[in-house]
Parts: sequence; structure tokens; C-alpha cells
Amino acid sequence: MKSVFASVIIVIIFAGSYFYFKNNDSSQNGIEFAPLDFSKSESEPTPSAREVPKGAREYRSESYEFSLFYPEAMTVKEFKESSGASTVTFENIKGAQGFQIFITAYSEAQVSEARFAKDLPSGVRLDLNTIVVDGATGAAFYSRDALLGETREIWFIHDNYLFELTTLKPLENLLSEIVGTWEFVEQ
Amino acid sequence: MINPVRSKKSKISADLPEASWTSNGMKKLFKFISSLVIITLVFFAVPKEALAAVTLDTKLNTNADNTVGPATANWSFTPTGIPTLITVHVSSARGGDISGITYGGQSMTLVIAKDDGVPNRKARIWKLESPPSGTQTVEITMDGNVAYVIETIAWTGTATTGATSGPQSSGGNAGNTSTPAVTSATGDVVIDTLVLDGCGTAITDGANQTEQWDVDGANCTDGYGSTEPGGASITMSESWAATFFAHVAVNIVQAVAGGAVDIGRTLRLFAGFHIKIFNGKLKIY
Repeated sequence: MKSVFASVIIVIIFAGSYFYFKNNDSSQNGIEFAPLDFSKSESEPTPSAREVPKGAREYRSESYEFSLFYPEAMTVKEFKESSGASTVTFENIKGAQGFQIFITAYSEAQVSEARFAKDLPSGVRLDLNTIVVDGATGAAFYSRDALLGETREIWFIHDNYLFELTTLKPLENLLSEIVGTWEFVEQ
Repeated sequence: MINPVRSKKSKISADLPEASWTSNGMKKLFKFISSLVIITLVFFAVPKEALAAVTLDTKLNTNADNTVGPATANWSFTPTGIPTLITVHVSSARGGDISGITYGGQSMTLVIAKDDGVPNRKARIWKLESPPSGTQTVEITMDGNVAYVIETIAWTGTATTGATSGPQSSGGNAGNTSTPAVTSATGDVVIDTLVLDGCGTAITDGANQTEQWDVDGANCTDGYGSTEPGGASITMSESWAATFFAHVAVNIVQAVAGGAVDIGRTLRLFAGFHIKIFNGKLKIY
């Protein structure tokens, strides 16, 4: 009887977990991957017409109209946030590499102090520099997060969206390389 | 030997027939399992954040033709409920533009703007989140001559910050259809605003769209707007006899119950992992 009871409990826990994670599935509709087909990449153009470097994959968002290349060892996850915002994480835990993109609708021409305060609870903004990402002017700076520690931030506004790219400070060169592949794409 | 007093099973066995024990035990087990199932389903299957529905509370159309150059105009607007968002939808023509709008004395924010190819016809959507309730004055400032058709809308059930998202637009000199696709979500509402050089041109909505206003203003300024319930991607389709046009659309974001909507960015990078720098090398585990 005990074994039957234990089995039932296990089934319930699994069923519950399924419903829980089903309801918390944060995948963002409308964002599509364009995975690299290495058998074709060196000789044929990808569907996006961007030539993907060897060892990389293309991430393309139809909703937010941009494309970038990231190391193929990274796993991409998409989360739908409140207010229609989205977060995309690119992570390679074993290789200790990763970054995230937070995207939110934003109608201002420049990032307001209120927005900085909202998204940077630490208030830390060091070595602020102006950068340009495929024609979009933005800011690069260092910040600090309670869990991540020191971070590298690249923020820019394009077509009524605010893009906030974040990585760990030791990975700033990786982020710079990836930002260098960023292109806004017209649908 | 089992002591029939100390052994629970033996004691029960001694008191009740075997068949009755099994039956009662199974009933108890069934009740227990049923309770667990119900609790589990309620706890896990109900969404953690119930969402409030976006509702168009009140709308008011105003149209006029200003030919005296820079000027202001205003009107009174009374929402039925307590609005969480005010949007002002502008369809205008002539050389001037509406350079600013206030609602209850508070400046509104331009969400999306599109001109036709001249440019002459202009489509705009302005917003004010968390507006003052009750009767308020809407005041527009024009930087030149403007013939306008303006719809003022009060919404309830929207987010109070980040209440609009995914604005899209199209415009041109000789189009006869426009289909901007807006990223949205179930429970949100997508609204569009169209201006035509039309003099009463008939306009046809796409499927699932509901016409909210259709006003033929002065100087052949046709102003039109419709809504559609939100979904993953909503195409706001309008068609007409070819002419100059500008078309804008935006998603109205629903509120999360409890008011916690735009809490800012969440850092999801390496969530659940430990980060350390060991001997100068980054470790994540």
C-alpha cells in the first residue's frame, strides 16, 4: 500500500510540475531563431542573407527587428516580461560565457534617469561612454548587481525600443564582439 | 508473537473484518489523494499573476480645421471609469502639425508618428499613463495650419507604466491598403489610427477588427480607427481606394493584478548559478 501511495504522490508532483512550468513558460512569441546549417554556411547564403561565421549562430528577432551572431556553444532562452518587455539570455555555463538582452518599449529619445534607476537598483554607472550600434547611439558603462557582481552594460534605443545588453565584467570583450555583429533588419 | 494490544494493525484486525478494513482504508486513501490532486491543480495550474483585461472605457471625437497658423485648441473629456491610460489619436492634414498635447495639464507622450509621402497627412498616437481621473481638459498645440480628426480614449485595465508597446506604422502617396503587424499578447488590445486624403473614402477593416471611429473631417481629412483583441502578432489591416495615407498602430498592455507591472529589468543571466573568479579565471557552476 505504501508503494502505491508513494507512486501516486510522485505522479501528482510530476503533474503539478508540468502545470507549473507550463504556466510559467516565458517563451516570447514572434521571436524566431535562424540556426546555422554548417553544411551550407560556407557555400550558400543563409535565409537571412547574412553570412554566419564559423562556430557561430545567428539570432534573429522578427518582433524587434535585429540580428546578431553568437557562439554556437551558447544556449538561448527567451522570457516574456511584464509590460510587453522581453529578455533573451545567451549562456554557455561550462564555458563560463554569456550575456542577456532586455528589450522594452520606450518612446523617449534618451534613457531617462528614472529608467536608469528602475533597471539599475545599485545606481552604479561607471566609465560612461557613447557607443554606436548599427547606427543607434547608446551608452556603454560598468555597473554592479547584487548577484552578478560587476557587470558590463551596453544600452541603446532604436525604433521605440530600449535595448539593454548585460554581461559580467570579465566578459566585456565577448559582448563587444557580439555587439559588433548586431544589425537592425527591416521586415 | 504480536501483542494484539500494542500492534495497531493487529488491534484493528481484531476489531473489524478484513473486508471492512480494506474498504475504509481505500476510501480514506481516495479522499486523501483527491484532496492532494485538487490542491495540486489549484496551486500549480492557476496562473501566478492574474491579468486585468484592457477595456476601452470612453471615447470622444473632435474635429476642426485651423487655418490661422500656430494656435491651441481644447475640449473637455469625462471618462466613465477611472482610467489607467489616456490615448489621443490624431489624423491630420495641411502643412502644420500638432506639436504637443496636455491632458489635465500634464504633457502627453508621442508614441508613434507617421506621415504620408508629401508629407501632408499625419497619423499620431499620444499617451498619458496614470492620468488624473474625472473630467479633464485636452489641449492641443498646433505649430501651423492643421485640419484634424482626433479621438480621445480613456482605457481601464492597462499597465500604468509601459502601457503601450510595439508601435508600427506605414504611409505613402498612393497606397490602397496598409497592414502593420503589432506584437501583442492575449488580454492586450491593439488599436490603429489611419488618415486618408479621402473626402469620405470608404475604409474596410481586416478580420476581427472593430471600427471605433470613422470621421470625414475638413480639408478631406478622413480619420479612422479600429481595435482588435490582442494575440501573439496582430495585423491591423485597412483598405481603401488608393490615395495618400498614413497609418499607425500600437499594442495596449494589460495590467498585472496587484499593480506590479513594470518593475524594471530582471537580470536572468546565469540565474541559479554561482559565479566566482578563481585564479583569475571566471567559474560558473
